[in-house]
Amino acid sequence: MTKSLIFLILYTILPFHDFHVSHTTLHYNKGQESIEITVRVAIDDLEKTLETKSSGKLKLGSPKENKSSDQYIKNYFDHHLKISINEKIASYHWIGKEIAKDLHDIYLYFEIPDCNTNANIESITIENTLFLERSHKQINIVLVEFGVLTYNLNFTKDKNRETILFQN
Amino acid sequence: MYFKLNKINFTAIVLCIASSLFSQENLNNSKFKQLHEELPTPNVYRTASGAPGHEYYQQTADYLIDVELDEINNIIHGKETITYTNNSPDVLSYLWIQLDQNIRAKKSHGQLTSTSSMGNEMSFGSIKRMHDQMNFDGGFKLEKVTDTNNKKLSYKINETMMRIELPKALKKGQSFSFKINYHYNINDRLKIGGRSGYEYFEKEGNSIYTIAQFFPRMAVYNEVEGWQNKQFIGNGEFTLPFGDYKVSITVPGDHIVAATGELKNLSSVLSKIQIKRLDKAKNNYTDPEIIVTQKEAEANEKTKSNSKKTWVFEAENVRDFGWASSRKFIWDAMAVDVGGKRVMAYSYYPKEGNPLWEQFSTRAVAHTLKTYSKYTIDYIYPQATSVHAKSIGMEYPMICFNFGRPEEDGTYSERTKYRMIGVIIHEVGHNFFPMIINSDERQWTWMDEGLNSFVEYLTEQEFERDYPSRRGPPENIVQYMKGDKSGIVPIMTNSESILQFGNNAYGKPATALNILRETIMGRELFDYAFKTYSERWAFKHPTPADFFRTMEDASAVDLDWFWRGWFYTNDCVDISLDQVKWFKINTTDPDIENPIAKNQKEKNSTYIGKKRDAASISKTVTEKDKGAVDFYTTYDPFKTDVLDRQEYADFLNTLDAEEKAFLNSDKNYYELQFSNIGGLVMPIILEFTYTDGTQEIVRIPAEIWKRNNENIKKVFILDKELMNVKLDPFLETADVDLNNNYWPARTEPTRFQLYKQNEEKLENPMQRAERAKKQ
Repeated sequence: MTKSLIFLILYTILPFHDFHVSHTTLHYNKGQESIEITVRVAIDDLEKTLETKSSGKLKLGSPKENKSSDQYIKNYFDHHLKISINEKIASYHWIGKEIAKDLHDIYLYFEIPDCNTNANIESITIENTLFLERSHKQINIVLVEFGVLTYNLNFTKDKNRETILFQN
Repeated sequence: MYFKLNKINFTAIVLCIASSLFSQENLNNSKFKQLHEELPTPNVYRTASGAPGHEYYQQTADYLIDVELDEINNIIHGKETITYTNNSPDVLSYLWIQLDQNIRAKKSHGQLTSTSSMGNEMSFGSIKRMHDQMNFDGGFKLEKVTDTNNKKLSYKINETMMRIELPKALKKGQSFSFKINYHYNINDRLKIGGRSGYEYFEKEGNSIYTIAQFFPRMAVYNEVEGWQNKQFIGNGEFTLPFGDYKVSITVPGDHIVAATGELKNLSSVLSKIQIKRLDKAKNNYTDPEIIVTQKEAEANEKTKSNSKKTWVFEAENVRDFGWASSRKFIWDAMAVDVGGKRVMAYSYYPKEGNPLWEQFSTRAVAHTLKTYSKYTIDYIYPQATSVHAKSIGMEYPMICFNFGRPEEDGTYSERTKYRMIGVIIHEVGHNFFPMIINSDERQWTWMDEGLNSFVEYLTEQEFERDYPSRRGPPENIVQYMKGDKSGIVPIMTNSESILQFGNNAYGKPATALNILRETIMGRELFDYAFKTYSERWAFKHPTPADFFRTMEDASAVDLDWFWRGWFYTNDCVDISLDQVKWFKINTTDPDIENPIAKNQKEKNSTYIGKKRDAASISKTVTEKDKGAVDFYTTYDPFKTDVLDRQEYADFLNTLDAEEKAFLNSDKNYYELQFSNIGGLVMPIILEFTYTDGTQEIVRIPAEIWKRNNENIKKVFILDKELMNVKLDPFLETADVDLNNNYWPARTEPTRFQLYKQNEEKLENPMQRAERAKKQ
């Protein structure tokens, strides 16, 4: 059910770091027949979105990192970054995560294995709602790299679903 | 002269050469077209060299302000007298005053024009914030607006701007003084955001007030914008004239106040011991001296004083004023030597900021003043202050509010530490851009944020080797620049229309300047020109054209193509090394060339059927039957005979000594072909690796693209044979696709693949600690 809320006007002053952009790359690895997913997000955005009363602080990348962090991240992405291949939801595996050199962002790695066993990939549908529940100004950028074909997509609150058709 | 080049071998990699369809209009669309049409015509106020002209003028606004903090109700009460001086040749019939607090007024344009939408799923926090913002009764409540004789002045408020009618037109050189009494509700920063406001500490009932835009401020009038009265709607920050300030701040008697300028009544607000410690700090250039200790601050925050104290500050030639007040403040101070002059570095923070703040804040302030002074101008103000303020970084003259808070148990992550030092460097750095080199922030965010982020990068790298800087290195901007063009706008975009604010106005210009410095101009030419810009426009109002022109004027480097590409378009750098062809001079000596040609022909016939035939056909007809053999059966076109030798000798006789030397030089001629896929023309930097393992770097200026912006060829004459070629070997151009940068072709592993390869070897710090315990 859609929660009905009266139309409200929102205004937020941006603090210094608060610019809300995430970058995702879907790279088709021909040799492995897998899709490699690399997501770069601000650690702050990720932590503030995932931390709840029950989870407590995540402290990503610190010696005191929450032991369930990977699970929380994977679970969140399952709900907010949905990828369908040939109109079928494709599930992806957790590969790992890595703090960026600038200590501001974190890289998250996922993989869709064996995604081309029977037939060609004809279409990919991406639904990206990362962090939209926290900031309406969030921009999620997705780069799809299929060999020489590359697609560059922007996802926002008003446009959170895109389909790419591969013409054979 | 006669000699022919004979292609004996070429290896070509053809990688998706983008067939760039260039609009064939009858217009000059060259990327090297000069910027005359984009930049304003030089005049007596701003010269073609980028310096202020002989008629340059600017207005002044002096302020006398009495302000009181009502801590119980979170209200600021203020009375101000503004003296405005018209130095322009124009006659002014009205003045525009900025009422920035009105952005938080109910139904303000800031709220109305901010697009928003509802999702099916929204966090509790973001909905709560919406409500808090809607319900807050913000904005200036003006009590009276009068001249100095208390006679009412006619005025009209349009959102965040107020027009005051002048009783008599103001001519050049004339001044007008007027008074405004006002109050406003202070916003809770953590509930509804804001560059200023308060943070409430619920456990103890105290707040830290970081107060700015707290008084009606004069707008800028000049020959560029007329009155800069573009409304304040959120992103485009401030544009303000210079002037002298005297500000009296009345706060609860147990508060400590930090502010722009110098404290003028020390003895009536500080204790004797505090004054003594401050004197000691004035002579300590190596370590911060504590003026108010943590113990004293902790004792202070346990009770609340009913008395009041008035702190008096004065500041000369500043464009704004900010202050902070709390009974929670610890205060430390250190002297800094800037060009032989003493400047004080101050930090104010609550116990919640320690242990980070006492160790790093003042040190970061001092380091910033020294480094920025080196690259721009010597810091002129008497002090620079860093105030602890959760989750923001915001700048005012001589004072800034910075985040960086350790965990409650006193530990902190590496990230918290370096981001805190980074934000302090950035915000203290804003003293130079835009507080001193006073660009128009309402119009151009990049002019202060971009230039400041660039010097921030240099300063961070001087703070600690390999400091984890976020903006500056070209590789860090690649992800942004290769993004979809619908999500990117050029740097030369008004502050309110910028998409991806951080990347556009901070990251890209900072990177562009870094590339100018390291790759295009070189450090020496760049540093001189950048310093010249800073010196020319210190305490003045520069525009983008003044910056672009000065950088060229002081360096003799034509940068129009660079400004055009990096600042006026959203193109990216993607240069492709499409092809490498290898040529050797044909000596025409038949004894040398014929065997080479034969060898080459054999190498080229690689058809699989021929190989198989060699094995499967034991004997052909001509091999079995001598009767089927004639002259052509055994004729070897590559065989050298006496006539060939004679012709060669005849040919040699026609050559002079120089020509003969060429013929026998044994040089390698390599023709490299490049295409410009990304759109930005850039220098071509090549790393040649020779077959003997040695390497050489070749740097070609961007002007190689001057006649053809899309495809070029370049011949290199080399003694040695090439094994491979790498384009942009030091990652200095922000090339977004490295896979077309190699000959022979090579594909760079993705970040994902590198991670996966190392996955087995990686352990997180926790696992490592566990392992260490077991040992």
